[in-house]
Amino acid sequence: MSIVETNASAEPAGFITHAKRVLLANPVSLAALVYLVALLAMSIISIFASPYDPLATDLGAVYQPPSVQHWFGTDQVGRDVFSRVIAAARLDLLIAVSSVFLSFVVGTFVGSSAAFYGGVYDKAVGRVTDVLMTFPLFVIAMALVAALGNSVESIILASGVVNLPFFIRLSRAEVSRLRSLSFVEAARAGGNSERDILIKFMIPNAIPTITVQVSTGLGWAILNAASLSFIGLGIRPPTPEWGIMVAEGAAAVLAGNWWLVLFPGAALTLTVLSFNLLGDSLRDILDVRFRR
Amino acid sequence: MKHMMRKNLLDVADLTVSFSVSSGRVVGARDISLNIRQGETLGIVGESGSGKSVTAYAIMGLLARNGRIDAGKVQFDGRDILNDRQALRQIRGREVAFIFQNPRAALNPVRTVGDQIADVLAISRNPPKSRAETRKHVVELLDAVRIVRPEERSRAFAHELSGGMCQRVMIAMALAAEPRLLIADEPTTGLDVTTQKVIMDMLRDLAASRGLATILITHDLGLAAEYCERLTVMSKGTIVEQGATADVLYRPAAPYTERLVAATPRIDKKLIELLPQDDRTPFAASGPASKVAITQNETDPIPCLTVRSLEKSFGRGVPWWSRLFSSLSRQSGTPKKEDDGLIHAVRGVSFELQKGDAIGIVGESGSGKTTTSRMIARLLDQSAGDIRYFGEDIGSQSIQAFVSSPLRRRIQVVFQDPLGSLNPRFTAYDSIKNQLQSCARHADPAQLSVHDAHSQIIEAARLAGLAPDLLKRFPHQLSGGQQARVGIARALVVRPELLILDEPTSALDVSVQALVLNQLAELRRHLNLTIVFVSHDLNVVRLVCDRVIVMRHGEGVESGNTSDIFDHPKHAYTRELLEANPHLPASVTS
Repeated sequence: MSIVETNASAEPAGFITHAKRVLLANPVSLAALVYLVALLAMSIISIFASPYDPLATDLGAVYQPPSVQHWFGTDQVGRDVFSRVIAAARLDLLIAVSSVFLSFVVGTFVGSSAAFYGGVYDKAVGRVTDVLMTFPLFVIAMALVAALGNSVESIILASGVVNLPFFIRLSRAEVSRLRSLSFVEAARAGGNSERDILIKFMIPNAIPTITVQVSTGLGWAILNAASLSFIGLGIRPPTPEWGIMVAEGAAAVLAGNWWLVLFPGAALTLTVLSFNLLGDSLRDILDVRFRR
Repeated sequence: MKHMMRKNLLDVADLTVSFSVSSGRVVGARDISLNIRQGETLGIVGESGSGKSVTAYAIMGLLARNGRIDAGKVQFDGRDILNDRQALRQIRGREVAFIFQNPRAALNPVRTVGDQIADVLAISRNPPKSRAETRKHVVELLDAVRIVRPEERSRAFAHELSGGMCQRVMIAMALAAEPRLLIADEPTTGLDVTTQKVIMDMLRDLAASRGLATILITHDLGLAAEYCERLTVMSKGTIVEQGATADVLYRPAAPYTERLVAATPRIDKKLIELLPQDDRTPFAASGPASKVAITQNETDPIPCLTVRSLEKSFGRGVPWWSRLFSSLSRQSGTPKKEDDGLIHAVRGVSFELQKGDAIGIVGESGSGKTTTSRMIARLLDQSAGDIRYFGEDIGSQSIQAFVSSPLRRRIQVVFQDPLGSLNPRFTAYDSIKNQLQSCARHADPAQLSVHDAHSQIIEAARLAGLAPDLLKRFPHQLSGGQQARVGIARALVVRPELLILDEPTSALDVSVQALVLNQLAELRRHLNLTIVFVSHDLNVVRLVCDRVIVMRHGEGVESGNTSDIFDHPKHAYTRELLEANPHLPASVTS
């Protein structure tokens, strides 16, 4: 079908206009973005100004249901659940972003270069990835944290390693597709070395697709960190963390203290959901080809 | 008159179609009125974006999801098919059949072509009663579209057939329902000219013998002139002119038609004549070959480019034991593969090129013309043979080594697909800059440096005819012609001496092609470039080149001066190519 004559003389949209257009066309993504930005803002503000100290106990006010004083109620030692949920966001987002950043950087580079150079290196990377994916990923994460010790760093590393195969596979597939396109040959004719082609031509073109994986990966990483602390690995109480809060509150639910599980659980669910919903729009925003 | 007696089969009145896009609604076709009588062939001609396909798709209710018919009336054989979905469903595929561009994509890859034809038979007006009857019918249809061994081919899948054969299967499918109207949307685009001629002749004969009306949608004025009784010329979504073919072509009433006819390359035309009268710059209007080039030819003893028995074969080669087995087993491999298991893309091409000359390499798909050009450009290692550039053996340098050779700058390439050959994430400016920086790294600093890069980039863009304010755009934000100019500017920025042009205009509309070709001819004179021009289009090669090599199956079948080859072709294949090439009749006699 022939292409309809559009307003060819009009200036093409810049990044901001384009991002606005994509988000307005996808209200769900917009809502997800608003939620995540709000959560991040609140967790940062809470460093300086929080309704209550998330660690301060108040034995005179244990197990209080949600009220005007305590929006999300209080827990078994009288800590304010709202303050704790907000403070936990800081830690969980930090873990998620660092671990995904780690697997994104390493995975994209390893996957892209494997596909681009091919040969034995590519085969080795492919097989190692396959082997890594045959294990239950959570078990690998558990083993790593157990071996490295209970610290935020080891959780970040463990989540990063678990996410790595997905990034390697995706970037490998994307670069295999890209490297047969005619602009690669044009780049060679233009005197670009193979390394230049990989860094300036292949990876930047693969990134919009990989972004989708970044977004879902963030969701997984948060879930992973929460799951690890739920089973008692990694972060230890009394540090506010969604997984621990759910674990600690689980027993109290039977006594009717539902707010101890509902609020951190809801924050966790909404955050993971938001990252997943944002993915597609993020790709559309980052891919210059969608700009009109 | 006979024409008057026939009644209208299809009547379209004031049809307006619009599409919703992110920036609002755009009109795809406006106030389209046309009709076609029984047994008639109507050509809808226009450049890309003219709305010719949109019109045809809208008539048959096949618009994309964001499309909408805003106004108008469509009647088929007196029945309203625009508002009556029931009537449309009955007519589509039965009374009206479609033939699409890119036949391979239009066929279902996981079913045999025979089964797909049988599907159409099953919904036809007289479906066959039994399986045996269906089979018989399918074979008859394949025979009618002149497929050899129809029985065997009916069990083939789309990927096992050539492009031309897939299009024949599509035609057989279209005919299976015994329609009264056939709509062919660019049916031969992407096929070789010789195949195109066979398909179009067959389509014409079948339509005539079955009394079929045909709408041929095409960008190729020559093709429409040869096969259509009436023409409808479209531009920017509206009809600019309709009438009998000869009237439209020889006495065009609309200025647009006039420009389109003028821009179509023709046997008796010079390059400059493709442009509208008022666009002919004095520079471009000067004589064909520059004096500088000619004098240099005489003084330069070493040719710019020498190519000796260049060969390229692909594939891994078959060890002797499996060669033994394959010779014992059934002989049904792909025709291209030889006994040694290799595909010989180029076998022994030789030529010499003096500085300032332009040579054309012409051939159909699979002739090895692009492979040859890629080897010369050092983008592909040859299997055998010698390439010398001013006496320096560049053939012995591997493609990896050549990237960092100072000669990389001097031999540049303009690629076939203007959009695909640009990095989607580079703006036009970045694309040109990247080339300058990469080449300058290895070039002689006296000849090329990144000093004052900005003005060098602007100058290259100016030479290629690209306005400076377009440089900040990404490739997809540019038109096809502008993309092609970025490709040219990118090659020019490093000040090359030998320019290899691989079908630089095949993706462009004729009016844009006329501009780009003239620009290239001007640059060649201005910068004294030596040119290797690869093309399937004989008309274009004739306009641009001094000498021509005609290639077929990897071999040069004929070479010589352009005028000799075109006026007195010696080889039968050259003659066949020249005859198959659709062209506007040379003389304008009214």
